Amino acid sequence: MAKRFKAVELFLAVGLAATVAACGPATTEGGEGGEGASTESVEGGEGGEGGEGGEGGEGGEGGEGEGASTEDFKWAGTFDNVEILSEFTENVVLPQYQQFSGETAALSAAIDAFVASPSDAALDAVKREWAAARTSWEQTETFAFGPAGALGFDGAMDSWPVNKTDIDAILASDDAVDEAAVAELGDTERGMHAIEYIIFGTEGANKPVADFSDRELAFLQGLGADLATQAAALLASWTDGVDGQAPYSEVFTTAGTDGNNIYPTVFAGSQELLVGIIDSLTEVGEDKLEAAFIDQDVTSLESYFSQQTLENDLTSNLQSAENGYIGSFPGGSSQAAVSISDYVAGIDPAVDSEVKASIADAKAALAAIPLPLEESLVDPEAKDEIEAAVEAILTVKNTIAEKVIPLI
Amino acid sequence: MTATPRRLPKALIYLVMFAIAGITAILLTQLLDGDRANLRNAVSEAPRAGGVTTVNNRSSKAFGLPATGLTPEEMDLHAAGDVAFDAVFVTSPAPINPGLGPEFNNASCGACHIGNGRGLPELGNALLRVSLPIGEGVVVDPHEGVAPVPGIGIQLRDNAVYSETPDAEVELNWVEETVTYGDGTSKTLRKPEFTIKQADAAKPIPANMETSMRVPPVVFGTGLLEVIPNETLEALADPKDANGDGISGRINHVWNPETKATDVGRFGLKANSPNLRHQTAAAYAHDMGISNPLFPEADGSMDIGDQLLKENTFYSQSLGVPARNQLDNPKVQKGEKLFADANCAACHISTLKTGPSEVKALADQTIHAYTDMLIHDMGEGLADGRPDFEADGQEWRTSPLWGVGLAQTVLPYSGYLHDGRARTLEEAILWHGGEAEQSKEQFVAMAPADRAAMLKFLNSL
Repeated sequence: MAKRFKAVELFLAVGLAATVAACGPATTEGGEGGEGASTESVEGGEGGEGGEGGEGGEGGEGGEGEGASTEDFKWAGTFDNVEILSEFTENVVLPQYQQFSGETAALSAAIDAFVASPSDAALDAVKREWAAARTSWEQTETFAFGPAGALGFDGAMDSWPVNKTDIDAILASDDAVDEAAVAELGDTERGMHAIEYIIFGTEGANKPVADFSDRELAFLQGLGADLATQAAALLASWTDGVDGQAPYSEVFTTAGTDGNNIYPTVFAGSQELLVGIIDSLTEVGEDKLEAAFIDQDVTSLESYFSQQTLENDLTSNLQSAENGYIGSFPGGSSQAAVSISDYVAGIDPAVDSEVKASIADAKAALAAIPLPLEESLVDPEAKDEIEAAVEAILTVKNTIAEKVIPLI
Repeated sequence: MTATPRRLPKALIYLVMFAIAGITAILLTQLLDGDRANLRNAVSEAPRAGGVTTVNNRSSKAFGLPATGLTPEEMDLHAAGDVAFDAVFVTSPAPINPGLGPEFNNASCGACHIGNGRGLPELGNALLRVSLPIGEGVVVDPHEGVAPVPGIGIQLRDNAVYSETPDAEVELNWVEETVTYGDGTSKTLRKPEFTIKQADAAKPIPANMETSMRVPPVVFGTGLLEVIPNETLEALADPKDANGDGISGRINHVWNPETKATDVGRFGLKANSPNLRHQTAAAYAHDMGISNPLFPEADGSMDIGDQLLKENTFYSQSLGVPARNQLDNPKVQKGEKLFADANCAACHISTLKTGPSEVKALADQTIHAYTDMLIHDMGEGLADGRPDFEADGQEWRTSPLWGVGLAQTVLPYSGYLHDGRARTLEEAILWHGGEAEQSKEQFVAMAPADRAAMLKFLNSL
């Protein structure tokens, strides 16, 4: 989903950035701010660089007051356990993409069955499979780095907003809409949200079977098949590599080895994972929930057509952050032998417990918002629950940013 | 569980710092005197590539963090700009982000500048600039710097909203050739070739049309480059190679539509844009078909207003520059010296100083961008044969190298150089010619371990 609002994420980033100043990672940068000092001397001690820690803090005070005190974010720069990265890849990334690929294939098959014999039951099956694929996809948020963005899979499968004008034009035309034709369409004319638009309709998510035109049915088949192909290709980019490139699982799990130019240090790999966790939390807490709540705009909710933004998208993004932290994949019941959580617990068990407790609180707070969010978002009765959920998710993020990152 | 890094005694650190400071001070003084030749051995020790704006992140998000040192008001503007940069435009009418096209290359800034970095060397991310050769009845449009193609303009939009027709159909193919090193090993290079087919009856494709493929350059750090004083660039320029070092950087003088006057060109791969506001507005108009205050529709209307343009421009200006890493790695240190010894640093100048700026974090910063912002003859191998304002068909602006080591972290599978033809930094070096021919030949003659060290240095940036 394209982001519409990222203020607090930026906010956090400023904090992360601000810490460079005072304390860059000793392992990668040598001498603890010595470089900064040398430059400063050149400039006649104007103080521009010496004072950057304070300036970063200044940035942190801005925004909307809900950000963490950003000057506390400090990477230790000492993380050296590559096994955590490989265990995460084996036990979270690959099984999650595997599951997603399987679910998109099931969705495509359910669409085919619905098209062959339209019925309420067949449409319900399509909706169920769509929601399952959607849930899996949003659980990949923590590892959205690598091929998902670079090779265009994210855009092809999850572009937002939907280009309703173009889709309506496609449906009104006689043009081919099979898988090959869909593969040539623009990102905003295909993917999960295009499927959502057609199967749920624009009002109330209860489009009757009788309302589906032959063109819609044909287009749905093309969209479903294209989605499944994209999902399989994304999985393959991690497991086998594409166009002669190394599998991305190999790239990530060989962080710190000579010749790995993408992650030349294990620490860089750990930054990728931690920033991924934090981004997932930002996505659910601020981008998707808080921004829409502040605007009181239900149409800006990601899965507005299906009215399932809370149970599919938000819940899964939070789950994705937890999966990244504890190295587990509940859907496939696999568990990393060693995780970021274990690493943190090995240094400071209290911090690890605090993170885990904050995640549990956030999950409970999110689950307490009445469904569907597409109604409760603008219901004064639900205001307290929504605010509490935003707060709880921010607490997870701030705990990780302030207490975990300094151990990494 | 965690390894504690070995540390030098503090006294020694301070001594080294003092020495570095002294050397840097001397070099900086020479830079400000405009003496390019004396900079060739400049070795930058500072990891804080973007001065106070530097950010400490070597992940795929490294190009997307706001600069440190922004005020709360600036952070708000940056945040709004971040939304604008990622906003995906759709066909009108639409409740959210209408106005796409009708012809376009892509639908959002972020779809091409992936993670605020490069795009892939594929159509959709990459695009073709086009023009006509100057000749009888064909003259340069003084505002565009080239002679536009009738009916098409200066850029081929190979995409269109569903009910419209693209400017043309473009097919991209790669042609390979082989280069041999001094030690006998060889390397296969590739360059792009295009088949352009007419798609619209109203837009014939001239047989003599000039084309130039471009991949999107990185976005971060541009706010700092924007406030390097003109005087610095003029001092660095040596158009007639008066100092006889074989390198003759020039300023590209371009049209500024807002001041309605000629200005120093800074942005774009041939430095054909005077500032980031213009660069941003031109990208909206040409890449996405989004009309705006600098590029309105014929009837004066526009898809986005000045506030959005301002926010998006500020977003680019206020992104942080990633800190260098692996500075204590001996190979990196050796590579940096080799980079200077091969005279690469004559154009990829390590250290510049910014001038005044309304944004405090951008003002008076010592930065390590590894560029002189000037256009140079890069030889026939890289030539696009498409002059742009004062840049000829063999000239390109020295690309900043800061963050170049993160290019494939931010965007795996991406390429280097203006059209992304180089799949690795090694290939990018091998394509250098013209004023960089001698430096390239030195690299080719190096022992394999030295070549590896130089690449390791580039990857530390």
